[in-house]
Amino acid sequence: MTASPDALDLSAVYRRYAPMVLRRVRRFYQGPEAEEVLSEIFLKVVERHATFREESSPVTWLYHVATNHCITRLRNNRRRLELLAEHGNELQPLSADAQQEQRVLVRELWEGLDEELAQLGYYYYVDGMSHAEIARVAGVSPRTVGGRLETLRVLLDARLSRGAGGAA
Amino acid sequence: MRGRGEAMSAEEALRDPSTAGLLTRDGHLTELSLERRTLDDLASHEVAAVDAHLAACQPCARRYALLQDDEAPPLPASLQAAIAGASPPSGAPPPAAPTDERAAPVAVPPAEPPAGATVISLAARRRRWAVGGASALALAAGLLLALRRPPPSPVAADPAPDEVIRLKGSDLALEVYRDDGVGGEALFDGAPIAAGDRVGFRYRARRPGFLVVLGVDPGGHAYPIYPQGAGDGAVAVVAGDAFVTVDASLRFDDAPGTERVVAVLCDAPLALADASRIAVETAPPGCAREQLHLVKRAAP
Repeated sequence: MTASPDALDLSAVYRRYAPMVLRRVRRFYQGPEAEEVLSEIFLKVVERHATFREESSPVTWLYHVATNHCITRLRNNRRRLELLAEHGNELQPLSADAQQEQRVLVRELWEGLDEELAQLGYYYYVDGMSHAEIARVAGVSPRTVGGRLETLRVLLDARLSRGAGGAA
Repeated sequence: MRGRGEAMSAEEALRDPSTAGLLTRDGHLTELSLERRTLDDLASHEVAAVDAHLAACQPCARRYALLQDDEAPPLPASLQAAIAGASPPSGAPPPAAPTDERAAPVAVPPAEPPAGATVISLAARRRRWAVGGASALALAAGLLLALRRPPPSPVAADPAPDEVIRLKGSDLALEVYRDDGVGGEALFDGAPIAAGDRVGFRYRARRPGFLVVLGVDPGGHAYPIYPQGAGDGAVAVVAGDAFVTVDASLRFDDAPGTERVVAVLCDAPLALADASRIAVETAPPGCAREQLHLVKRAAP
């Protein structure tokens, strides 16, 4: 990337990219908390801007940093449950016809996922990205994405089966 | 310019494996694709694919339009302090446009007022980019430019969006509006236009400098919109918070494709040839670039 933060200046980077990052944050947080999270993300950018140069696209890099930060922040936060309540109907195809009980099970499982799996799952189920695009954004191979999403699908299926069996 | 038979439909554009990742699995543009389009972060073939989709998909066009209105929230004090403490690596070039200079008066008096003094001549435009005889051209104020292009400038490469330093919303802003004679509807980036549509331009320069507005046709050829007939260089402009209307308009022909309108503002005087290179390639330090894409639809 030519327009790296050190070559421009970090204030200019903020002016240019903050609206995009804030929109991403608002998928997870609302109100004043969103701007607080925005600041946290740009503090990360300040700390890590040396690695920024290595990325091919500042937009994709910041999008990924923002997504990761929000998911990580939600990890020990009840907002994660709220997020999943908001997006429960977007967890396609697993929840397309799911009953409320199943959706609760999905949420519980989602809450317990490791962060990488949660990030990839968010890109896939909520953002609707293809495997190839997830691979590009997350900086991993398409094969890794496929493997991790298959792991996630098996986990969800197993959990749903157990839940359905238990309910029967 | 792309011929009629070469028009790229949304389906064609996104069938290409290299652009398939721009879509969600249910066939709409991903959130990231729209953000990248807004921030000029797409390669030219991806821009074409996204624009073709936007022209054909109202839900995505609405989502895209919403992205254009957001301004950056104020820089928090904690972040300001952190940025101040982050020293750039040695050898890094200075910022292109220090904030505290943006409102300063221009050091060199402008060659002419920033608005309404430069006149477009269709005949002059067809001959070459810059001609003399401003008094004669003044009679042709408001004359329309047809997009029957003059011989293209030698630069034909597609822009490299990653390399463009564009300080959107700060140094330079460009607005394109549907010119109905009384102002007209502002067009969002990626807006569809039809054959015969007439568009006008407004810019806002928040730092003094030298301005050129150019068009770039679907083939990547730059051509001047403003100034025309004002010599060989850019027009000196003063800093201001108001939009200034450019005394020029374009009327589009019926060949489909994506046209770009690019405004270039530089700290130092520049020739139109340099501006055309910036329009299709990169913005060097000391220059800001702002652009909008207009998606021409084929005549029904």
